[in-house]
Amino acid sequence: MWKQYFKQAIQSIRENPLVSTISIAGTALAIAMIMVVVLLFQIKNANYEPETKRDRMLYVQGTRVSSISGNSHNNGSMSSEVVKECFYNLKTPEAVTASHTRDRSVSLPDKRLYNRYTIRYTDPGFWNVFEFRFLNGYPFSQEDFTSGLCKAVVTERFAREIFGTKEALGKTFVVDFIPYTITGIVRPVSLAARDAYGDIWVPYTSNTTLTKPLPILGNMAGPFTVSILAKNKRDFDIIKEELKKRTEMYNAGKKDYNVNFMENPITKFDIAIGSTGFQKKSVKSYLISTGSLLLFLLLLPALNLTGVVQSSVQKRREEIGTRKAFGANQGQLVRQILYENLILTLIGALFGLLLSFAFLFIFKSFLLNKETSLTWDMLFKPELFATALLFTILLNFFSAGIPAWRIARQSIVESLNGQEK
Amino acid sequence: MIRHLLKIIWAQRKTNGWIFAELAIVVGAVWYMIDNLYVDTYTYYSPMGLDIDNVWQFKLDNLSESAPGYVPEEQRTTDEAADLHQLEEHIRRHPKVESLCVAYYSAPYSWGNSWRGIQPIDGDTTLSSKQSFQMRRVTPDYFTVFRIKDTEGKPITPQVTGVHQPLVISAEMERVFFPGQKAKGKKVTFGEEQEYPITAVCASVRSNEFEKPEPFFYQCLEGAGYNECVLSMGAASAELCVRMQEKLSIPEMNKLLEEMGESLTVNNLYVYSARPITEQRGEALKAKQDEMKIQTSMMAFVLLNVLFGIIGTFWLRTQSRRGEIGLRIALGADKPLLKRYLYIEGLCLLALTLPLTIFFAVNSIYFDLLDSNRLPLSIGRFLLTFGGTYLLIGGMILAGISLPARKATQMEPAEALHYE
Repeated sequence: MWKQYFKQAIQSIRENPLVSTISIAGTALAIAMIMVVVLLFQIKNANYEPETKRDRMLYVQGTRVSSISGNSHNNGSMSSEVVKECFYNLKTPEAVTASHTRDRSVSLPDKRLYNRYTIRYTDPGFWNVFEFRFLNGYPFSQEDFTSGLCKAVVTERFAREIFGTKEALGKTFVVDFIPYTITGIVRPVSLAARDAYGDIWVPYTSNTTLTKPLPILGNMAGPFTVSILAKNKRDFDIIKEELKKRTEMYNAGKKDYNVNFMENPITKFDIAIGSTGFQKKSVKSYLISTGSLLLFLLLLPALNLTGVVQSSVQKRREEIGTRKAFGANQGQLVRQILYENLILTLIGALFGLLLSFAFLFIFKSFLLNKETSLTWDMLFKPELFATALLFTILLNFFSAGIPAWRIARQSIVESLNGQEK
Repeated sequence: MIRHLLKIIWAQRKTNGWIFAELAIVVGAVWYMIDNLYVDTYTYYSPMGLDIDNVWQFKLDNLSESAPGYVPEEQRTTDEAADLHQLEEHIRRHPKVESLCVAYYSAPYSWGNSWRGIQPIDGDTTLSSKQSFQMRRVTPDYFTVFRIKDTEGKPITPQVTGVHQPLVISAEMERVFFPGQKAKGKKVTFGEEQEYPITAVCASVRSNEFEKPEPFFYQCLEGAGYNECVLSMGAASAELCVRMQEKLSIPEMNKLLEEMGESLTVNNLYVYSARPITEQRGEALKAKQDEMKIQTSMMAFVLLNVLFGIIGTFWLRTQSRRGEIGLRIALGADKPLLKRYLYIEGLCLLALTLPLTIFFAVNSIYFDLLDSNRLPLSIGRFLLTFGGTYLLIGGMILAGISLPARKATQMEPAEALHYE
């Protein structure tokens, strides 16, 4: 049967190359635009190196410190004391990490330089939460962290830019006048992996300005955000509950201020649909805004295609009338037209998918960021192809559905007569 | 002729229906996007009121206690304000530096901002309750560094130098506080006893390219005011803005900083890098500019769809009307006229969307969907955006029809009649 549909479709392309080209191009364009929207979401949500376990992660990206008297509060991030008292002692998660990034100039021990790099101040848990591929060396250890040793993991690119070679293990560089020794070298990270991103990773205990107790806001406000890796997605609620208890215990020992984490912890999916730790966005409102965009991208070309399909079906009404006269029922005819058209749509969709990758690369500077590197493992996911297929079938249904239904409904005599109704 | 064409359009309403529906949606969508882009572009190219070319922000920080060279509290003989002042002097002495200033949360495109309640004395009495306005804390040289002029086009720095705690208000603020009067020489208060003189009124300054000028004021930092401000907010939070004599690239600037060496550190305060303010502008404007580019690509998508739709529809149309066209050719209709028929038919179809578009436009005004804040609604604006929309889509329609029209009229009369 499919062979027959396929033959028919090829025949109709041959018969009317211009119109077929146009409908394939229209389909390709629509699918390309839709897939760009899907790809952008996927980049925000899917697992890829080094954030390979995003689906098991919870994020704390906002902290509120309120005065107990109730007349003031401060929104920001948390201090190292809060990290220690509320997060490091959580029992349920597999791993917890706190970090803070800065853009700083990096110097050599004998020469001050001013090129800026992103330095991430973090802890040993970081290397368990995220999965880095070490080209050389190893991460800093719990002992290094506890004693505040100035050890650093850097990217291969950083090593090449600063030392002219990627064999930089054991070499020293200086940030804010503090000398760091390189213990590990990793592959560069895409800016899209924003919770792991950096050029340099060091223990945050190496810079005392980050851990020094501050006299204001009960020493609760600071520079840190937290990422939690659960053993299993199902543990999310237990972790939230445990965090709540920890926070209550911590607050109980404080006189003037209390800390709370607002909507946190939130999942990567929450973040991908636009939530922040301060304000959660509902799936419904996301579906309304993005859904209407997708519908527009789908329906506008469908109007075009309907016109084209309508005309080409009208031309074949004698054939359809004959088939009816020989006993084909409405369902069979509708299916035939939909399937034949699906082959054209699928050809268009294939081009569309390729085009969407091209769009993503060409327009990266405003869709994402000029510096964001794209890797194959963040783009090629089975879900992507499933989504593309789904939208293709939808588009086919929207564009060929009405003409197919109309022609199948026509009476045999009318069809055989070739009357336009 | 038009009546004849309308009849033809009506006779083919079945196939015309789809393309008409598409055109109606597209005209509405394109018009809305054009209006948005027009307001954005118009605002973008209005004067900014300041000049940031060749100005760099020197980024400051304090040494950490663990860093070598850290001066412990008990060994220090100067306070942070003195350190910052000395650092300014070191940089000012470099031959490639033209001028420099210090600001707090007030440099162009900086992320922070501060607001303060302020009241005119002898001004608009309706402003009896204190209203908050944006305050920019700056040293007097700020106006030289950013080339900000007063409403008469004269430089401001000489007017504020040597005055005790002067304020400079913006032209918009003058209109709010002292409508129809000159604000220079008048006084304002922050609600306390002390009164501050308005020393100058600066021409409109906008915070970024996509906003209209808002009322705000500068509080000039000098003498005790400067010290107090630096001590309370920390020398490292100061925005040290430096205008260079000539255009420098980032590597050139980094080289210059390397040459300056030790002079960029005073006690625990040091310069860790320098960024051109244009780079900060790029970051501040990115979100809005990305949005504009996405909107433009959506418009391209929509217009391409129109092109495809028109080519498809008219191609099939001319094919199924080959008989009629052939007959016309055989009876001696000239080909340009036939082509014109097709073109005008397409444009008629477009023109028929006008009532729907106007209905859509009236609704968007009613529901306040148009930006009337940055650019007031006016007949001119509508003529321009409607004109642009119809020209653009009309162009697409003509381009779309040209291909089928050429094919149809290339027929020989004999061949054409064959279809009849």
